[in-house]
Amino acid sequence: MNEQDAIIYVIDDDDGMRRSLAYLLDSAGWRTRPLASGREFLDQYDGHVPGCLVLDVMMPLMGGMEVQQILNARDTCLPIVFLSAHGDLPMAVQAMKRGALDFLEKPCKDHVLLDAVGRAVRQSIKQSLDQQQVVEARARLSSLTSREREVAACLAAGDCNKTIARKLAISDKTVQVHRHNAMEKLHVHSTAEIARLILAADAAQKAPPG
Amino acid sequence: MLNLQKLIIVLAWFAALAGLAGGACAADPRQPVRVAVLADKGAEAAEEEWEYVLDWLNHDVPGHRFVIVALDHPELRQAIHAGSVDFLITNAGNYSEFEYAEGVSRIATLDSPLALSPSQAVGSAIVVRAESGLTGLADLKGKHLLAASHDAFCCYQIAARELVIAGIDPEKDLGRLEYAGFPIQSIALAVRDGKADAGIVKTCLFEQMIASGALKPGELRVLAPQEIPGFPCQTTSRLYPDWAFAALKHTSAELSRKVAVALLEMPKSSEGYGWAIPAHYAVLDELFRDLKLGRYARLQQETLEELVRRHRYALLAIAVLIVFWLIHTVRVDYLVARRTRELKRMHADRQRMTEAMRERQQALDHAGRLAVLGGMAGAIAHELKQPLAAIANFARGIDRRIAAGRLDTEPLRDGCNEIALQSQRADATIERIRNFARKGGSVMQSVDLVAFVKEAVELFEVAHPEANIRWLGMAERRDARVEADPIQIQQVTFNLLKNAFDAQYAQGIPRAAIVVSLEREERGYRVAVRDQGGNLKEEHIAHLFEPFFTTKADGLGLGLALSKWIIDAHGGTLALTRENSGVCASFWLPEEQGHE
Repeated sequence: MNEQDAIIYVIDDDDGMRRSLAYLLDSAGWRTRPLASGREFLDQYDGHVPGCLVLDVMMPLMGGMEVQQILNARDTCLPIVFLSAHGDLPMAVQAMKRGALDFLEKPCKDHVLLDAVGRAVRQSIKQSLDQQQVVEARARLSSLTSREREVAACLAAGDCNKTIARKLAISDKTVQVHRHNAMEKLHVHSTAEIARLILAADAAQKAPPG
Repeated sequence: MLNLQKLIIVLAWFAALAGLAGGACAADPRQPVRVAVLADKGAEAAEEEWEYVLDWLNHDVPGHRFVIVALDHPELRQAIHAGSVDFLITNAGNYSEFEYAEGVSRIATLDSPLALSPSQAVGSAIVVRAESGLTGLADLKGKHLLAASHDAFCCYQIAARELVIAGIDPEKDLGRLEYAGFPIQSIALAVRDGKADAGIVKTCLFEQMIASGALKPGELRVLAPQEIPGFPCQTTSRLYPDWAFAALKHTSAELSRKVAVALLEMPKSSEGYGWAIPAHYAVLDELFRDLKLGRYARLQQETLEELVRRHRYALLAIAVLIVFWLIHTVRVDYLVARRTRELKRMHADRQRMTEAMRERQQALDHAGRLAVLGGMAGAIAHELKQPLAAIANFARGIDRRIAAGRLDTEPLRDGCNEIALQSQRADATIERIRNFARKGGSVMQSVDLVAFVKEAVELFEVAHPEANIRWLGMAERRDARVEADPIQIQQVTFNLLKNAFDAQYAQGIPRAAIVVSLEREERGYRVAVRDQGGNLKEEHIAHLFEPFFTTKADGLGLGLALSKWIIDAHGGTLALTRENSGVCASFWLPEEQGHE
């Protein structure tokens, strides 16, 4: 996964503005997909990453903020760069709180926009990778039996075999067997690795959406 | 009378003495002294009649040869005027005329036997047939009257005066006035014979004719006889002096005195005629004045000058009136002219005021548009910023492609074309604003209300993309026509939309629906804009239409005031009412005349 795969979605109801943004981004080497409304984007978007959304705030029918909320609900990793004709500070704050990557005032300098888009794409890539790890960790963890997962969790918490045996009211021997099987299934060689894997899976669950 | 007689005698003495003293210097005895005599009965009769007097004078005034010159009235006048005679014997009327006209002066008056006195000697008797019903002079009106001649003293003029006094104009009121000439006996006979109703004769003729047997008593009678004690004859008129003996102006005083004395000394004739001291002839003046004869003749043919003199007071009064009238006319003319000037000035003033008002209205109109434009400043800025920003993006895009060495012509040209397109778009926007803000009066025309309100709504949507405006009612109607200035109606619609949107924005619900509706109302259409901006305070409603009243933090307070002004000017009404969750702002316009 790299920047060449990124798609920049440009959403503005103003034809001229939309085409000019797409032209500028294209000139900077980005692949773009200009769209006239938020609804059009939501209907077409297939979850492709990496990429980012260059989104006009003020649009009839569906404004940029509304699009953001819907995307958050869908749990996508597409960073949003907002463009607003009116420097509306409360709206900017709200957008940033909801995870917007940037909130730019139109017209903005080309490098400001391109920087923001670059950062957004990189964040998109990172987020995608992170999410990929979580998925992997979860998949690996899901191959364990419930007893094996209990033992693994204790190991990640730093417990020794004896402590585990006492906690789970099983023999030391049994703990050793579960430990061996779990490390085999998780393809790890140390308890530290087990801990990191479990943390990754948990972090993905607890992280804020978007 | 006695004193006068004495005086005359004394004078006569002086005259005699003078005559004796200057005998050698007297008038040339070879030159005859011509005595003119009025001969209305013919020259022969006159010469015969006055021969006695002439003989006496030739006898009594030595050194002179008196000759008689018998003349009729016109000849007499001519002779006297020419001075071709020295003395004059004529009747009182005639004398009086010449006394005035030619300056002749009487030296003796005939003393006739029948006269009451020399000064009351002769009059006129109007004779009528005894059996005629005429009793007074007034009865002669319309009758046939005979007289001797117009100049005849005793046989016309004297009687004529009495007629005039009785209210009869002898020349107009009589049925016929006939001049029969002399002898006057024929007049009496003609009356007797029924040839006329009445005749004028000299006093005493009637009695003489009876005495001579020419008339039988009871055939004629004298009309309206006057009682004059001592006068032996019946008379219709008063009595006048007898004939006068007069000297002309050029006749020497000495000769006049001699003649006078001689006349007074003359023994009475066989018929009893003699001469007396001159009578007073002033009474004749009255006669002539009444008849407008002699020196008063002019009265009968009054010249303008006479008229002016006679009626000078009346004329003066008329002149004064005319002067007043003229002054009044001039004054009225002046006043009219002044009033006209004032009216003209007032008219000009009013025109100036109308012009000023029109200009003010235009200015207001213009100000109204600018105010609306001010309200649209954000929208306008947005409209201009978009293409400018787009242009910047294209330009930088092109620059980046060149910098990166990506020189494919197609995308570069696309960028350039886009730049041109966006600059055109900005230009169009500017043009639109300029048209909207242009100066000039409102242009009333037949307007498709729906189309123009819709256009205003679209314009508003462009300026406020987040606004959620919905059409309700007769959205597709195309027959809602009003007489209006479309741009002004759009201004009002825009204002109402702006108010609605601002109210909702302030409430944090910019995207709440604003409902625009068009409704048919009696004789007109109502365009209503309903918002959900809530809480319009009751105390604010009364002031909403006042200029510079605003509830907005950044408002000018002109929008509604101007809207109301515009709608009022269209003969419509602007209303603002509270509804459940907001305000309903609406304007009503009368439908186009003659449109169903």
